[in-house]
Amino acid sequence: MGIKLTGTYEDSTFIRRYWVWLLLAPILLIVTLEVLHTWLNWSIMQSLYEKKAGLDWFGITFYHNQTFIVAAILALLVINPLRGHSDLYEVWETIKWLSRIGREPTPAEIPVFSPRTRRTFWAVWQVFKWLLAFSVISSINGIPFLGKVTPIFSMALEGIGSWSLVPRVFVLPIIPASSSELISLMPTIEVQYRLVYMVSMAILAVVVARMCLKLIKHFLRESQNVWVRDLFVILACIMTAIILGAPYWVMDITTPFNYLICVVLLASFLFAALFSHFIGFGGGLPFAKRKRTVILSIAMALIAVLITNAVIVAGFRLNWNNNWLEYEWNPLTRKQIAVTRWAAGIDHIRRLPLSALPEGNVTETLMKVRQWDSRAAYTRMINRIGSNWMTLADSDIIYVGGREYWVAPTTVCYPSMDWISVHLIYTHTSRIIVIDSHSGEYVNLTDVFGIPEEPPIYYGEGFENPVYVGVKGFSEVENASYPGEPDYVLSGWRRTLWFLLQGQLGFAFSPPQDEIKMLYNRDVVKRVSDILIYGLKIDPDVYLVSDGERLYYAVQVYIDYPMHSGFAASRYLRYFAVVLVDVVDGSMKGYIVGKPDGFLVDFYTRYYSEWKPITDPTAEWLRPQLRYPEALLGKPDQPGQLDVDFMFHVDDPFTWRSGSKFYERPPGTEVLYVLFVENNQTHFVGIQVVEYKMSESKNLAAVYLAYGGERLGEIVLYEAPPEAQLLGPTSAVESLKANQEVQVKLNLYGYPETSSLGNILLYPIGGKLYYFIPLYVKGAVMVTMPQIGIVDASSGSLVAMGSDASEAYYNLIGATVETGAQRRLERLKTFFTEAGYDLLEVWAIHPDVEVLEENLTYLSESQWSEVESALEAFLERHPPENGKVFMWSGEEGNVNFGVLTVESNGVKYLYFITVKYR
Amino acid sequence: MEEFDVWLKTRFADRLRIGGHRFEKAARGEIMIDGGAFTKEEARLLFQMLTSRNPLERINAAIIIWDRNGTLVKIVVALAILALILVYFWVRR
Repeated sequence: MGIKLTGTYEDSTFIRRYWVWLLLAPILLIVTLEVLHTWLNWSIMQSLYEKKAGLDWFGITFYHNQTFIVAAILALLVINPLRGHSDLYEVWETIKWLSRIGREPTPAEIPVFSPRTRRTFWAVWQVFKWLLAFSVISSINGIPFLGKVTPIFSMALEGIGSWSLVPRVFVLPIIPASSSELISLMPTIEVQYRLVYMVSMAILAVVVARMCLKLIKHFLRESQNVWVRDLFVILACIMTAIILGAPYWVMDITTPFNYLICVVLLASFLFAALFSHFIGFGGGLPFAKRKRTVILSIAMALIAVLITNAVIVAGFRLNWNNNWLEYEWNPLTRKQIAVTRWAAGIDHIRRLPLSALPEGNVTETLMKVRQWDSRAAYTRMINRIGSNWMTLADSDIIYVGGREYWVAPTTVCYPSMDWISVHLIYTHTSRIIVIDSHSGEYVNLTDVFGIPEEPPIYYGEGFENPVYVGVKGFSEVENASYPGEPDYVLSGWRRTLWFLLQGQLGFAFSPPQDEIKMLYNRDVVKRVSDILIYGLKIDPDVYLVSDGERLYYAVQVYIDYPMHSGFAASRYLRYFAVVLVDVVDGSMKGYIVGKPDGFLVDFYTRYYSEWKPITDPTAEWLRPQLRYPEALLGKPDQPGQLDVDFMFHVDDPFTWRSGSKFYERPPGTEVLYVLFVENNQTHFVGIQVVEYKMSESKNLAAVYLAYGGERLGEIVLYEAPPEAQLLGPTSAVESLKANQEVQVKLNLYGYPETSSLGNILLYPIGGKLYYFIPLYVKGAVMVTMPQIGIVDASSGSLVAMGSDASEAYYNLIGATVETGAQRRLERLKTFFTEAGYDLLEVWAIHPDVEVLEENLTYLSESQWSEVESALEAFLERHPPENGKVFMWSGEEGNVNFGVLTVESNGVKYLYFITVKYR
Repeated sequence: MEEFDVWLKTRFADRLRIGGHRFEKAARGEIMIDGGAFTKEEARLLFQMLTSRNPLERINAAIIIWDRNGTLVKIVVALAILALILVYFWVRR
């Protein structure tokens, strides 16, 4: 019993003696592991980007160590410069003092520290505060509630903006600048002046915080009105902050007077603070007449100036509407439009009448109508996956070799979520499904991109888990073997730590091999975003491109940077770069697309100096495949450049005031990438149709075209004249649904239960505008497009449907079926002539031997790609001698194409192919 | 003025109203004007100012009284905060 008691006593003594260490030990362990984990992660990232992108990840992420330098300097602001003093401690002391009033204090309540102890505590407290501030500032690269500082500091060091223009910026409220001067001052406003402003704000905030603590102490403890001085110092600081922020104000005719009011108020607060300090309220006002007169005169003068300015401002406001041009339009709105257009990067948008909308060959246009939209294409492609561990990541529209396709790369869909499956077996996917955006037919990836074989995807969309390749005793799915370099090789204690943190003790302490190859950060969007600094964003809609050898994900990067001037109603928006990520080995290449602007494009171009310009010969293959980023143009839930232009394209004061020409994106529409034929040239464009804002009639107001390919970056606004009264997309759908014949067909296909309408696409054909609206019959894994509707934009009553765009169009214009057949025949002929052969139309041929190679059917446009492939194969098998191809009519609706070959023995062979086109 | 001096010297009639301000005698020979403590000499001066024909003198006297009894500091602080709030919202509009 006694022994037991002793044991208990000893146990409790041990716990009592070492409880601090027992508490601290797990915390220290967690902190140590976290530090090591961070260090290992950073090492992996540094190695990955150095190896795969030739970039210094640490340098880029931490602004070449400026993150730490700026944080270290700014953190000094929290240190109390008075040695041994602490405002916070003094407030605490005051509160303790208050609680002791009226009773005798116990010795424990009054802590008395020696000066040396006090200084030691002070030093420890200052170090703690500095470390805390350093951590916060370095983690957000800026000051809480104020914004980013390090990127701005970096820009200033790179020579963006000019220090000599800072005084000019400071006096902007009283000496207004013109639109062009404002634009030229913007870099300085956003860099040098912003830096001055933010640092001043931080200093003022610290002063205010300290003065607030002093105010509490003085209010509670001092019998005299010392707190009034503190209060006026606080008010003066706030007013100084307001004055420093004046260059960012929205400035109209009243701004100089508002500014003067602020200056007078600042002077008043300073005067009040000085008066409180040197004379004091509550008995300080002297009875000596002269002194009193001086003080009261100063006070009166300040109040008089204040009231005068307020009266002037009130006068302006009373007369605002009858002087709107002079008071608001000229000093503010006109400049705001110019600066906003510059900021949004829309000042280069060309404005043309809608009649100038490019139109090309009717047949060509009808052959390229995008009959399949994203959703329908996705559903159509999903049944081609063929295995349970892959799913479609997305369906992206691409443009290659003059054709437009929907491409759906696959991503892993884990049938089993155990660690081995996720990290060792399902390392990649192996299917990329492609369909023609016009016909909806499946196309081989190798045919589209001209690549030798379909590559495995180790780096793609939704590849969130790191995988380990070449691990003994494990094989990847489909018995594949990763052919590239790993992102990182885990070995030694790094491997142990890595797998320990993953909870894999076996791999940590007794792995199958010492060196384990890891593929890390495999999601292409994250892979690119991890090397982007503040102000750069990624268009989440990534797509595939190819140089004919390898396949890459094109990740488009654009600048989206906040502008603080009241004259800029938009963020700074520019298309900056495209980063290619190899789907097999994850290597990355960047190309700068943005043009020099003397501001952010220049800064980021210098920052990513390893990236080549898009005009570089190595990117020659890439340029035709590029499109303008959708996220930059704007989406319904994410405004972009076009959304700014919807309002800021107006430059007439009264049109602006009335808002009669403001546009809006019709509900349910977005930027659609289609092929536009212009003078027999096909362009890959993003098209956005707009209606007048809040218009009841839902008329077509304008069309935006954003070119891709070689004309990348070119945006044109085609404005409809008000008298045109063209149908908008919303009305077009209503017109289609209201047509009786269409209603019958919609009912036949079970609309809206089992079928749905697709994208509303506008095309100019033969000098008129038409909307094409496909009808899809949907199943769980299959979609068909039995019909497509067409609506004449100039007349709501002209509506038709057809099995494809061509048929619908010819049904609408009332042409006979013959017209369609004639057009198909023309297309067949064009195929041979465009291929460089002489097409000879003959009555009859008399060979020794006739060989019918194939019977083809070309009765609808959806069959064209099949016919085209068959004709190409035929010509490959029988290359025409002297380049001559014979054509003659066959049975009703048939046409024959043949090649005459004379064998060495003199026997004439006619190889021919029959096409049923009518 | 003489009547006021008499009031200052005598012990009775300890409350007086001049120009809207309340004069009271307090302990230790102080004169309380609207709650603010003044010496007898200061009270005499204020009496002169308050009974002056010059309106500025009368305003001056009122300000001195407000200063001493704490009204002035309340007015100034309230006006300053109000002005700051107005300016802040005006420029942020």
